[in-house]
Parts: sequence; structure tokens; C-alpha cells
Amino acid sequence: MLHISVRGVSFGYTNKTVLRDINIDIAHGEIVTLLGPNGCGKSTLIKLMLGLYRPVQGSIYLDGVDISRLASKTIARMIAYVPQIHRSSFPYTVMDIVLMGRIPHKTFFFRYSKKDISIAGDAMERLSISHLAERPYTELSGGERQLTVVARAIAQGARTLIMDEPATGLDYGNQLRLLEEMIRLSREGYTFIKSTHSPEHALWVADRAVMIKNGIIMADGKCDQVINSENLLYLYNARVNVMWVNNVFQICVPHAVSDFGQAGAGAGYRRHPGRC
Amino acid sequence: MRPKKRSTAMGIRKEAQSGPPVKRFGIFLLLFLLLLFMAVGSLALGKYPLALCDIINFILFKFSHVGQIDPLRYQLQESLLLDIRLPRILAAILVGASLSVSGTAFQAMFVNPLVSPGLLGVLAGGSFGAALGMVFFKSWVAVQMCTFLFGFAAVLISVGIAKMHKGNTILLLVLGGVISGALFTSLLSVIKYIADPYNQLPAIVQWLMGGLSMVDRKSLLITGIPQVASIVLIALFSGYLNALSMGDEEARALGIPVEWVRLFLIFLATIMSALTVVMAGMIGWVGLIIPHVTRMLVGPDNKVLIPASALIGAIYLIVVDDVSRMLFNVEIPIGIATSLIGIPFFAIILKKARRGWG
Repeated sequence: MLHISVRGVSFGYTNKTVLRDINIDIAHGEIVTLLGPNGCGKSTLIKLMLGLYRPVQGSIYLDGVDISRLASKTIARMIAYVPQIHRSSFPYTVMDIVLMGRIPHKTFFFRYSKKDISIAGDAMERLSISHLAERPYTELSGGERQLTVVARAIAQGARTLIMDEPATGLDYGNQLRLLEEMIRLSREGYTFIKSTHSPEHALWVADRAVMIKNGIIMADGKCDQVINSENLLYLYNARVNVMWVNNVFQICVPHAVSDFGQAGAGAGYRRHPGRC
Repeated sequence: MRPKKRSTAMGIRKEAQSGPPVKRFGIFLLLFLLLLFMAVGSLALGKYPLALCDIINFILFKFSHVGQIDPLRYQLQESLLLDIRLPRILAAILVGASLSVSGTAFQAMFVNPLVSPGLLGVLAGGSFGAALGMVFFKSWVAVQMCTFLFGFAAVLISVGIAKMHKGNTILLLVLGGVISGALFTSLLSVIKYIADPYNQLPAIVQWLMGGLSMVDRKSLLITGIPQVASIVLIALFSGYLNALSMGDEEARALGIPVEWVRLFLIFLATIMSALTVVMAGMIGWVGLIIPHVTRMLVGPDNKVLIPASALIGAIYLIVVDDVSRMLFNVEIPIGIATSLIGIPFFAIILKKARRGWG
């Protein structure tokens, strides 16, 4: 059964259309990577799927139910949001943050029960960050902070994680570790929808990529079919070679690197019309 | 980047925060006993010194008729303790706790540890209301009503300005607060300008410097009940406050109806802060400093922070009030004392203060 279906969704502000007639079907356990230039509507689509915005046209179905008819707490029990890495203003402990994931299961004036604390502990254990439990979040590295938020999503009981550029701001090693955790969790049945700026991240996970440009879906399919030179040229206006390595996995190599010395790097580039 | 070296204050905080519930309970017990001690101790302090044993004798005699007190002395003690000192101490407790709790709540919901309860203009509006009342009405009750109403009106204007525009609600609220605060500050200048310079103007100026000397038992009851109720309600909402302090979108993704919760919390904080102006005029810096100090002691979790800052704020204001009436022959207005203590303190802790708004 389809997990999330986005049907004919359009969204815009008073004088600007951000998304036009978007259709995506996502099944349980998929890792979907949203690709597209700045301002293409990725973040908006993410917020629509979280139920934070309402589509102007069309509907989004969550396990067959129109999301606009679900209470926000019900949505939160099914879908968790992992935002871009941020600095919290307050030095909450990792435990405090992971416990916040239990809020959708609580009513007004709640206290965390023993059960909540043990669920939060389990979530931290699954991501091997139990040793950080009492550390202030503000003193963690970017990678540890992102794992904390993923642990919160798991404590939330959600089986679907929607991530807005989760790897932005992480160093190379932490990006890899985050992707590893995602792959591991997706094998356990978790669904991931993430936006990213680097096609490599989609290739590493090697599942599904959705390319969005100017508010419409440009391509949608398995990574090895969708991520190719022509699509990337059209999507980012950047010339990139996508190469197979040993027929096992693909990598992106910029033309500037492979054709270095021809008329100077970047001479043939057309400036992307400024949208952001 | 954070320096590796931790100061003692941060060390204490870490210890207290990571402690089991028993330890947290211990902190509350300690703070509560300290508050009790301060309150009783302050009963003994004043121009007319009373020994602690006199007070104990008086209380015993008053409530259980144990012991003996000279009737004349009894009457003197009764008016001194029950009519003058006790209301004043209770007012200090209420004002200190209210300002601290509303400051803590504002800092969490505006995701910025550097904001104070006056952010949305409640103190400016209340001051204007008080001045207006002093110039145009004779009765003290009317002045108090006026203070409360304009404190509320100022916040309504801030919220209204924020609602008029679309965009980042937190930022718009802050800008709305700047506008509304500026409006009422200028209106206050108008009132000062038209006030009679021999009687009214000094009264207004005195009021704006803050003071607990006008408190009486009746108004204490009327203002105290909503203040205590608001503190309790905000404490009950503290789990939501934690999530709100992660930013709007995360809080909404956790299933919290952010707009409504925030409006309700602003409403409660406004009641509390407006009532502090009604009771004691402008008392600055308490709502900014105390949440900070408390956060250093018990950590940022609002479930602990809110009640702890209420207790610490109450203790702080009792102490400052004692100092302001004991230090010199004339009483220093308490608002001046809190500012003079608060400003250098703030300058010192500023470095440790976490930046807000990115």
C-alpha cells in the first residue's frame, strides 16, 4: 500500500506559484531524495508533506487519509521532521531533546512517564548515542546533533522521516555516517524523504531520486536512471559527467575536472537566473 | 565556538541538571527554605528593629494566644508586621516570581535567551496607563485599572501588528513590540509634559522608578490570585515551552498548535507583568537576569526552570527590597536598585549568554 501520495498539489504565495501539479507516490521503506536548485520548491514540498502548509490545489494522502483531515498530533506520530542542522539557543541535554519526541503522544499539561524515558533511551541506543544523553546539545558536533534529532524522530514513533537538507553543514565523515544510519533504518522499514544539494547523496543511497525544477517535477525514478549528465545540466545548469565505477556504483565528476584546461573552467557556464 | 574551559557556574548547572529527580527535589527544597528564611528574616528588618523572637512571640500570641505581650506593644507590632511589612514582602515575592516566570517563558517562546518580559511593550503600556491615571483620575483604584488596561493594550497592538503581516511570526512580534513600546513611551512623554509639575510629575517619576511601598493587603489579594494562577498555568505548559524554544516549524512538526499556545502564553505573561506594574511600578532587569541565573543553576529544561526561576526571582526581589530600604536613610526606589545590580551583572554574563535568532 502506498504510504504517502501527493496528488496534483499546487502551492503558492499571493503572487508567486511555488509548486505546480506535483504527483509523487512513496511506498514504505523507500529512501527518496529530492534534488533541485535553490528555490525550486523542495523545502515547500517537504512542509506540505509534514502538514505544516496546506496545498492550494490537490491533496496529500497519508496511508490513504487526506492529511488536511488529520490532527497535527496524529501526523506527528506518523511523520517526523528532521530540520537542517541548527544551533539551539538553549543548552538542552540530548535526553531533553529526544524526550520532546514524546510530545505528540501527550495531552496538555503532561509529564514524561517512565515509559517515555525508556523509549527515548532505546531510540538513543539504536543510533549509538546513549553516551551523549546528559551532554548539552549545544556542545555536540554537527553530526551528533543530527543523530540526536533522528533519535527524537524515532522516539516520536514515526516510521517516516522527512529531512530538509540533513547533511548540509556536516563534515564529510558525518555526512557518510548519517547516510549509513538512514540506510540501516530503511532496512528496518523506515521511510526517508530528504532533500539535498548534492546528487552524490542520492547515488550513495542508490534508491530513488525526484528532481524538481521551477516548481514542477522534472524527473522521478531510480537513481541510476534519473541521475545523468543531461538531467543534471538541465537541473543545475552545471556540466557534470556521471560515471559508472566497476559497474557497481555511480559517481559525479564535474566537467571542469575531467576537461580541465579547455577554455578555462566555467567559461561555458550560463548564470542560473537568480532565484532563491 | 565555545571555549573548552567551563566556569564554576556552568559546572554547577551540569551537575544539578544531570542529577536524578531526588536531586532536583533537593534544589527546590533548598530554594523554598531559603525563600521562607528570607521572608521571615525580612519581617525583622526595618527602621523599627524587631528581634526574631519578638516576631515568633507575636505569631504565637496572635494565632494561639500563647505567651504574653503588652497590649500597646501588640498593637504596634500588629500594624508594623501585618499591615506594612508582610504585604510588602508578599508583594516582593509575587512581583519577583511573576517577572522571572514571564521572562523565562518569553525567552523560550521567542527562542532567544536575551529577551525580557517587556518585549511586547507591556511595561511601557502599563507605565503610560499609570501616568495617565495619575493625571486624570483621583482614585488609586482607577490608576491601577488604567495601568493594567494599557499594559494589555500595548501587547494587543504588538500582536495585532504581527498578525497584519505575513512572515516569520517571532520576528514580526518582536518588531510589533518595538513599535508598540515606542508608541507608549512617547505617549508617556506627552503625559509627563502636560502633568502638573509640582504634584503630578514627581508622583509619576517616582512611580516609574518602582517601589513596593504602595502595596496594601486588599490590592495584594486582587493582583496576587491571577499572578499565582498564571505562574501555575505556565509551569504546566513547560513541556510545550521546551518544544517552542526549538523554533516554530519543529514545534509544529511535533504536533503542537504553535500559534494558539504562544498566544495563550503571551496572554498569561501579559497578565502577570501588567500586574507587577500595577503593584510596584517599573521594575526592570529582573525578568532578564533571573531566568539566566536560574538556567545556569538548573539547566534549560523549562519543567525545572519555571518553578526554580519563580523561587529565585522571589528571593532576589526580597533581598533587593531589603537593601533598598535599609542601605540609606531614605528608601531607594527598587526599580533603580534592580537596574543598578542587573546591568553590570548582565554585562558580565553576556559572554556566556547564548546567541538567539541564529
